[in-house]
Amino acid sequence: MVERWIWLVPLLPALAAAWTGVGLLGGWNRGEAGEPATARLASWSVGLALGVLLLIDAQGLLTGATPGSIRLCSWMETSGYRVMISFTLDRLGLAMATLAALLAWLAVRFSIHYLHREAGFQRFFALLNLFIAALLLFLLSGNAVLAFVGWEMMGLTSYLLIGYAVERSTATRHATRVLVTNRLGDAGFTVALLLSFTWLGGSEWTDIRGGFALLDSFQMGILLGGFVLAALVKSAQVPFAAWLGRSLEGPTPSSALFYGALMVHAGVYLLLRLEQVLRHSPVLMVVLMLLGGADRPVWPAGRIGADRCQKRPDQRDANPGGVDVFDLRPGLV
Amino acid sequence: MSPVCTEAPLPMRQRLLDWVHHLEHHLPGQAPLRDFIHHNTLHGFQHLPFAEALRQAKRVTGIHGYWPAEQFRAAFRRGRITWPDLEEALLRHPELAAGEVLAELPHGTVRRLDLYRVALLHDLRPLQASQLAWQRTGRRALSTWQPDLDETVRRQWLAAATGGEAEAVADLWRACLAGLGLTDGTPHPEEQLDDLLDFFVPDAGHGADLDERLFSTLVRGEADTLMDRLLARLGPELTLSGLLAALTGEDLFDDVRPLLLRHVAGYLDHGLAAWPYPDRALGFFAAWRRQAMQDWSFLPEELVNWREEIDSLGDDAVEAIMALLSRLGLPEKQWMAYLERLALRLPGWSGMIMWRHRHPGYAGLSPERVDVLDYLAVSLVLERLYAMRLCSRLWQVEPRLEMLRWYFRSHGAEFLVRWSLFNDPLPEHMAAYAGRLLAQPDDDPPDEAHWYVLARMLRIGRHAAGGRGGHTPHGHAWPLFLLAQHLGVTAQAWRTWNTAQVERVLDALACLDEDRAGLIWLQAYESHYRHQVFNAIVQNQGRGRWARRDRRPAAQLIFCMDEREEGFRRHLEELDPRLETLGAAGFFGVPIHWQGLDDPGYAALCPVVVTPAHRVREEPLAEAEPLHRAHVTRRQYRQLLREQLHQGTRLGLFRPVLWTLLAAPWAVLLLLGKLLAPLTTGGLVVRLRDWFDRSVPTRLTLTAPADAPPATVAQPRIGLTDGEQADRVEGLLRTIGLTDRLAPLVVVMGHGSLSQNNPHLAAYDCGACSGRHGGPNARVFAAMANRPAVREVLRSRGIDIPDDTWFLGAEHNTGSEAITWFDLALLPGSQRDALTRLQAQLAQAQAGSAHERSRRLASAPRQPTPAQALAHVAGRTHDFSQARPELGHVTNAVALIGRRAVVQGLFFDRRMFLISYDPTQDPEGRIAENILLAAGPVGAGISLEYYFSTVDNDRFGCGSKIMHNVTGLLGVMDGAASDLRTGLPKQMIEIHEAMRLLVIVEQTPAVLTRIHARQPAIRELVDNAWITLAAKEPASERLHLFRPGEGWVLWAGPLQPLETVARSADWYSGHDGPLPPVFIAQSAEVECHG
Repeated sequence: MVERWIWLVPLLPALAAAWTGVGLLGGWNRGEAGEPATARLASWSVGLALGVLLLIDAQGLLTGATPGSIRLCSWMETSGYRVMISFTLDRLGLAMATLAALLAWLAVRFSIHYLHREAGFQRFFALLNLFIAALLLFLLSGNAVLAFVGWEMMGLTSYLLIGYAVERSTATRHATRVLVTNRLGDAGFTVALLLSFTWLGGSEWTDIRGGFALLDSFQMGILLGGFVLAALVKSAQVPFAAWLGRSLEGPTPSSALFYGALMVHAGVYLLLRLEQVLRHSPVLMVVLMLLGGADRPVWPAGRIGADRCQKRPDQRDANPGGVDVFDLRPGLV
Repeated sequence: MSPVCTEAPLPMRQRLLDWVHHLEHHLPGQAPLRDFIHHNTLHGFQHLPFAEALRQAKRVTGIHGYWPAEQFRAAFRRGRITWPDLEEALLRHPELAAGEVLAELPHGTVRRLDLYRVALLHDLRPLQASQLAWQRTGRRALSTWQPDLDETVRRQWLAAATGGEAEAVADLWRACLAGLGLTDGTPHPEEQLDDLLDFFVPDAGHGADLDERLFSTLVRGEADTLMDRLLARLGPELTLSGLLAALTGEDLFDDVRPLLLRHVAGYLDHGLAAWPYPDRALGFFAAWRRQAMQDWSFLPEELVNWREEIDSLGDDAVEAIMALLSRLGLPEKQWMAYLERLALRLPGWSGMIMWRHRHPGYAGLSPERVDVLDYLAVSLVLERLYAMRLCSRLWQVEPRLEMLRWYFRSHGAEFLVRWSLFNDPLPEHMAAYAGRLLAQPDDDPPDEAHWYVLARMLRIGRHAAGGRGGHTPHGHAWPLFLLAQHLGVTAQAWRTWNTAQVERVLDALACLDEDRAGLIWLQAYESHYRHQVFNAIVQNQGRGRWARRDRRPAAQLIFCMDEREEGFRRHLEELDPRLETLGAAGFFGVPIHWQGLDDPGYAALCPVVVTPAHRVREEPLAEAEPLHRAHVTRRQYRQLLREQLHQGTRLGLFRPVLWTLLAAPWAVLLLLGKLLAPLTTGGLVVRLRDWFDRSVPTRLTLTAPADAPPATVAQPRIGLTDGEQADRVEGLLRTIGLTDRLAPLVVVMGHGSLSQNNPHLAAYDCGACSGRHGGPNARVFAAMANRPAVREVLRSRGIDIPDDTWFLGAEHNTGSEAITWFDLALLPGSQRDALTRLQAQLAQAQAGSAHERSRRLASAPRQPTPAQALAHVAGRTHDFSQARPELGHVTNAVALIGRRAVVQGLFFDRRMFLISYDPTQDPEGRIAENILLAAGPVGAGISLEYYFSTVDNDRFGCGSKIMHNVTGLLGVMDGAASDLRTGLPKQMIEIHEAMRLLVIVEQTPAVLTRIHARQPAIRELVDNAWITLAAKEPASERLHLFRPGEGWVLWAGPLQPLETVARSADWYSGHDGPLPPVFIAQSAEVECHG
């Protein structure tokens, strides 16, 4: 029954973000004196979210079955449209969310010493918490609308953290470039969302997967194309890869989390969510494989000049997401 | 397109090549990261006196070389600077005429000194008109006392004021205005402009009817003057991009920088990039050009004719530079200045290129030669291409001086508006209006009439009412008003001052400009601490141990002079009075090229100014050869694995998947361990690695046969002959005065620092070993001093090393406090007990030192036990989230060249370099001379780098580590496309007290005067006040301070009594700020432990 608590997972970091943000505005957690409280809050909120996920994992391992789709309540409803607060707790979702929560928690722990005495300490943690909430919401969402909410919040926090050094115009300019590029993908997501409501009557992942057989190949191509565009942009694939190079302006731990480890894989995850549907569209699969493959030589070429290695809590360098997109096809990931 | 310059290229080519050496002085001289060595940030200005150098550096770079006044005022409030210190500093500047009387007032005389006091302690800077308006309405500053008014002055005011606070203050303000011939009726400038706008804007539609005569005589005249002045700055002050930024607000370098850096970084890369830069050997310009010609997407297509432009230049960088500067239309005499300005657009990268230019063949890297002119040529091309785009977009002209002049001759109004908007702070209303004009789309530019309307308004606005001599309420009356308040001068008194007196006050204020005020603050700050140091040293006369060795110490330990060892030595001495500690430059007089067992090549271990002539290698013992082979193979496997984990997870098609799957679970575990228990995990990883690698017992290739070919810098020889070894050993022992009563155990302790995730690692290592670990030097020295053949030679030279004396090499990790011992297996059995005893004491000293360091570390436990503190500092060095693994040389302030006895028994808060020197063995001062020559520049380099990185961390330093990215393993950038950041990061200097190094030599002033006269290098540092020199007479407690231009001045400060504490910990416990010197109890010949 522990899965009934799943809503805590994105909510706890979000509340921590809100509290830190309010404190910052109210002025009671500012400066070096406010660091320990902010750090404890961030660490505990993400740690508890991780704990809830681990409990659900453990339950799944013991019973041998994942809880699957969970619908908590209806969020908004008009005639013909209905959006649920629902979560998908299948193996993919749980595995990714647990890993994400773990890495996020480690990044929080890393940042506590690393950002000590930074003027933007509280702002950073508020944004980092918000990002973690957004990512977990996206990964666990039971429908495309909730996923989109998480998706957009990720984009927003990404923008604000790339531009963390507000006094440097290069950082703010790059942040804007990244945001604008990402809007392309967001547009794709929105179109797909709209079409799934129109053609499939809902946005639950189960609806989308189930209703697909009813669509003709043109409709399927358009709808899936939207999602694929969103995924390609978010995962910085060719031809949208250039934004990634501009994103490395923020503090190291957030750069690592966003562009080295977690956020760049959101696109890949989205495709994995739709994997069963994608199988019906061989053309898109080939396109994906070509683009993913094209990404391999492009990355080293992109970095031939100003190469860089950020000090990061995870050991991977700036995203080789291409390999994941490429490998979707043979089903390796 | 203008033709390529063809006139007599040879002399100019030669001049350009010669000029490169000059450029070096104005660029940062920082080496690539792994060879980071502290040096004077303003090394190029070192031939000038300190104050003058800072003034000139400010002119060239725009950076203020002193702490901001606010920082000094904070130090004043904390009592780190007092008024007597400031007064002393002010009176030492005759040009300030501090004693001059300005006015006689009922309550006393006002001297210039009083005025300076107010100007230093309070912010009297002139305001902008809008700021004055804010002061008036927002802070009610014209009707209430200043909040920082001194309490006594406030009382004085209350006594004198009859009509209450508001009346008195307002009256004072009116008096200040009246003194300058101003009145209070002047409306707010923005209100004036509102009226102007209302008046002029209706005209805008009828531009053609406007008064042409007024236009040509006034607006154009003014525009022409300004334009001539602006164009004349091209070269000495501005490059083309700067000029265009002054007219458009767009900095071309925002676009140029990423394009340029990508290539420069790739070209200089030390092995981080996956693909090497093609055609490196051709030189940067030619290689870059070749790429440009082959790559269709090399530059954005919207750049005009970039392919033709680059194609027309040829492969020769000097030719290209000359062609491009001719195309710009710049007179030849400005070329060098222009190129220097261009280099200073990205000082960090230019400096790195220059460094490589000056060090051909550095580290065996390809390309062997890097040429600054290549880099400048590429910058020029890019700047020109982007300038062409901007100029053709806005004005449809080529970026050429004559063309720009021609265009603006006929568009004077546009020039005036643009210039005013970007160079002359405009009131908001006006700026918004001008901004709207500029924002019009390029295909529909504003017509001349619009520019004209605004230009006319600007003219009128600028020439609007002012007082006598151009005085304004905000610029002149405001400082006077504040001054009068703080001086307690009432309105009535003020009104009695005549014009000449008011002018004199204004002159006096102007006299104390930002630079001079900074210098006075600095001198006062240094003087305050110097008095504390002198006071302690004078009173310590006769207290310190080991002034003479009348008995044999239990052990002698020779440390590096590094000020971090001061704490460690103090703790050790507190434990056992029978221990003697000494200090020397950490290469211990043994300059060598060293190759450790696993090192791929040799590295020089000595100060940067020395080039070793000898090589020493670490080799496996003969019987350990099979073990060594296993070690090499296993190490290769390990490195292969690491390489695969780093590169294999990101490059290739299928390999990343495989490696990710294999490594991910372990990576997560390791990550968890490293973050949650850094010390345990770090220790485990090290043990695992050592177990896997198999440690190999080694020996040194130390001795060369007596008939070996001579060792030269050009052809270094492996090993030293007996004679050479004896020279080295004798040299150090005589330098530190250790020529008699050598203890049974003499430990030579090098140092280094290890930490994780730290690009500036080398900055924490030994400066006397070129930013590397000093352990090998210690080991080599000990091995030499233990050889009977060497001791034989030494005996014949009068140094008798007893047969039962054994030298041991060791290395102290200043981060974790760990000590690594070398060649313990060779230690004679008779000394084992002594070593065991010493190691037990060292263990306590390590904990004590860690305990003392913890008080200044914010994340250390409060009130820790020594053991907790030791675990904490060791954990920090394994913690890769720690941006402050240790605090390095921070707070360094003093160097003592003399016997330990001078300061032994005093607490110096890890602020003092300790260099052992025995003046009684050196009556002529020859040894002191050598020490000053070697240690002077090292100490000055450390001190000055810390100084400058502290006073302006964003510009002399490299800012916060948090945003740093390592580039090409050669430096750090902010984000992905910034200038290379040089200097020290914020995390290294946070608690530094920015002052110049005080060098105290235990020697008579007469001897030092002779050394000073002989050595230009010392004169440069001392006479130009980059360091402060003082002499402590060996036979008495007298101290003399050397004042440049004046000579020696006996210190006769009143003695302040010093407290005595039993142990250092009693003094520092519970304090996290800097602490003054204090006596550590000597009396009880403390029971020795163990």
